[in-house]
Amino acid sequence: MSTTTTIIAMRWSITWGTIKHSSWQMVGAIVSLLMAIGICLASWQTALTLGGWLPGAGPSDRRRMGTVLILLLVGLTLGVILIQLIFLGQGSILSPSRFVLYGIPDGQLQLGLYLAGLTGPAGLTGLVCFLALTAIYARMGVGAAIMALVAALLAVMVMLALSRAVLDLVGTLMVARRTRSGLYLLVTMVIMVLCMLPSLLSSEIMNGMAVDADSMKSVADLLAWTPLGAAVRLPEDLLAGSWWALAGRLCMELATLTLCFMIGMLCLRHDRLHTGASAERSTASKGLGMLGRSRNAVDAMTARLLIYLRQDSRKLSIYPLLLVLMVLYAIIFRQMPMLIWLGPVLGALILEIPEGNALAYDGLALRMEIAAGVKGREDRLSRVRSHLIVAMPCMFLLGLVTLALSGAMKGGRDLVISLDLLAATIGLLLSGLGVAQIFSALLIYPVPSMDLPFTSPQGRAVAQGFLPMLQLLASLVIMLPTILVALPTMTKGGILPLWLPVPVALANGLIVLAAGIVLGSRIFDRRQSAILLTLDRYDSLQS
Amino acid sequence: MSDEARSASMTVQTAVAPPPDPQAAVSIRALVKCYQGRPAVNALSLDIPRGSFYGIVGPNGAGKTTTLNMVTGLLAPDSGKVMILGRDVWSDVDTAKRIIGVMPQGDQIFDRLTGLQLLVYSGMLRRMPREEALSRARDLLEAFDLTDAAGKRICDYSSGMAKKICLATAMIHSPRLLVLDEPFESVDPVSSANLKDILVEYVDTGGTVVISSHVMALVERMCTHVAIINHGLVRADGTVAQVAAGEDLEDRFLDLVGGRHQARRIAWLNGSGSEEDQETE
Repeated sequence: MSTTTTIIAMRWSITWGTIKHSSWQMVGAIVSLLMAIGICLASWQTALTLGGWLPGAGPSDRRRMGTVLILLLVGLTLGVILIQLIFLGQGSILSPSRFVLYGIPDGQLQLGLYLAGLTGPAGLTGLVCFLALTAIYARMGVGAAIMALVAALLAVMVMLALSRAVLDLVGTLMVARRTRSGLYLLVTMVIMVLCMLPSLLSSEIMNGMAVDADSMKSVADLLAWTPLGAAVRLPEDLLAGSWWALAGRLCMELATLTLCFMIGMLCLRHDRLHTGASAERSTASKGLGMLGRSRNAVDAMTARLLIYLRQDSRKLSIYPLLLVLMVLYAIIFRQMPMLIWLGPVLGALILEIPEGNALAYDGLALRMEIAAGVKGREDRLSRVRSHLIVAMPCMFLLGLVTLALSGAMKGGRDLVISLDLLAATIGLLLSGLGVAQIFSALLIYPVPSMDLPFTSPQGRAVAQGFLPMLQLLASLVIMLPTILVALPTMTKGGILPLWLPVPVALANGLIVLAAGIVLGSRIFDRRQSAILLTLDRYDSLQS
Repeated sequence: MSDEARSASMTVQTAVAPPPDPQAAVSIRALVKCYQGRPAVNALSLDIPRGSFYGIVGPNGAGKTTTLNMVTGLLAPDSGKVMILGRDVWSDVDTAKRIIGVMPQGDQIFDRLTGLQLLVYSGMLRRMPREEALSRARDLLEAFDLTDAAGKRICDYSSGMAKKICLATAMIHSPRLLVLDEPFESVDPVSSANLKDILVEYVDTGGTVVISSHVMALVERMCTHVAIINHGLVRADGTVAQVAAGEDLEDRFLDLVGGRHQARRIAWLNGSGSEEDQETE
């Protein structure tokens, strides 16, 4: 058996072994398989419909179809690259580093890994899907049909080659932890914006911003001369008899494949020459930093949490989300500006989610504090302080920006209601933090490691979906006194003074926070051994 | 393993133990910890004299780490008593934790702090004033040859350096009892010799060191006393000479723990069939 077929066989053995490992994996695999079949059938059906329409379509309609297909292919390729970046460092079974001990020549290894990717579940689905789409050209002559098949094959191959090359380059060049954290933050931001695009596009605010078809065609024409979109134009070039364009695009696709292959080879060589070299250059820190201002254990723990927050992209990524949320609501509710306050209110709740699982973020290092005899009260106080030092100014700033955007600065009733909502936001932040102090000592679920923030530890999916929801629900329910006062007050014609929700919300938040600290401290003290055992168990899921 | 030993390991021992010895650095009586009904530590009793360099050895899964976790207040026992320097650990666990030094493993420290920050942090967690902790941290960094790396984050340290900083965090509050798990693993010979000197000097001042290790030669060379643990029970304890009973300590360990068997000869493990052979043919 050649090296290439061995790697492909190994890839499927591991995939099959993982599926067999648990019934949940089996269910997941069956659902994925059904989805893949569905996607392929949908592609086939779309291709048959378009294939029936194409022979009778005019040149402008054909151009429009070409534009849409190019944009879809480019979007899909960029999406695939983005997904690869998200899972960077997850230790994929197709990582070259796993084969360094076996003395496989670089060329064979690259080819084997590439073909194993192409014949993997995702690669095969893409290949079948793209081949199904070639039915579009089934009635346009044998030449066009054959060229469509070649184009489909090239499109999938280039997509995979580009994503592998980007992954190789990032993996080789971005070895420093700080650079990786920065990349994770950047990718998170891009994903957040992409996730919110459907809401933006479906809202009425996009009226007047309708995309101009001609400009899209120009963009598509340009993209058709890049490796990302060239494959789509190949059958059209053949039908139009544009032989130079056809040859040029074919050469570009082949050159891209060769270039990506060479990038992989260069990265392998670079890794071999630099493995073990220290990636981090900074040794600048001289003093104690924030610890230098500590006077007691609680101060020191607060400082430690702040030093960690600065380096922890798992928690830091929530802060840009607040900004994205506010911008989104500012756009969506342009016609009803007071509803922009939904942004800060929702932001205050979201900020508390990591605090509700704070001990898992510390991981096994928490053992050091417990071994030193730290009391639950000290631990809870330091977490509350460190969180409020950062979150409170952020929420105030967000509140002030929202105040300005909502147009309430002019004064009158809207200003007082805005102040009520600002107080409710702060109250929610405090009560959410109080609830988090109880949750974090009681219900711990696995989180990804600090070095690989995008990895998904086993057993996290269900817990990570359910427990934060429970936490958010508790944070909302416990603010019921504020809601009961605010609703009748803000309704026109209410008998209560309009400013009343301000003190009620703040008092509500502070009382819940105090109760959360007291209860959370007791639970922490009582469950120290159980917490350590849980963290020990989850640590094995992080690797 | 004999049937008798297997049966002993599966059922919790219920023998009545004498009261703990307050004069010992560590006195353990009838300590029990079960996981899912199976005893990991099975009525274990042991006395560790003050001023001794005590080695705890045993095969993987013998119950060493579970025992040490219960001794250091990190894991509540199901039953039994532990006394450290005359104090009952589980009646005032926080005080007990502050009078001992436990060396954490590399993944049990806040490795995004710099070496200096971690040491000061460790001191302040134990109620030391910052200036005092800072002064001691600098002394420790110097003693462990880490002064140049004081401002570097620990996650950027080599494994040997990380080991040294872990040991330093356990010593900053000058405890009279040090509990160390595999302290010399992945430490280079020069650093290892320096570490040993520091520990020997510490024992000379009356401190007690308890180390858990798999390296029998190290235990034989460094420790004054040793306990061999298997299936959650002490199989032998005393001075190294008493436990070795005239044999090499490693042979004695294998006798007590069992499990060694005649190596099966692998016929092809002689280079035949290698690429070189094929080329010759």
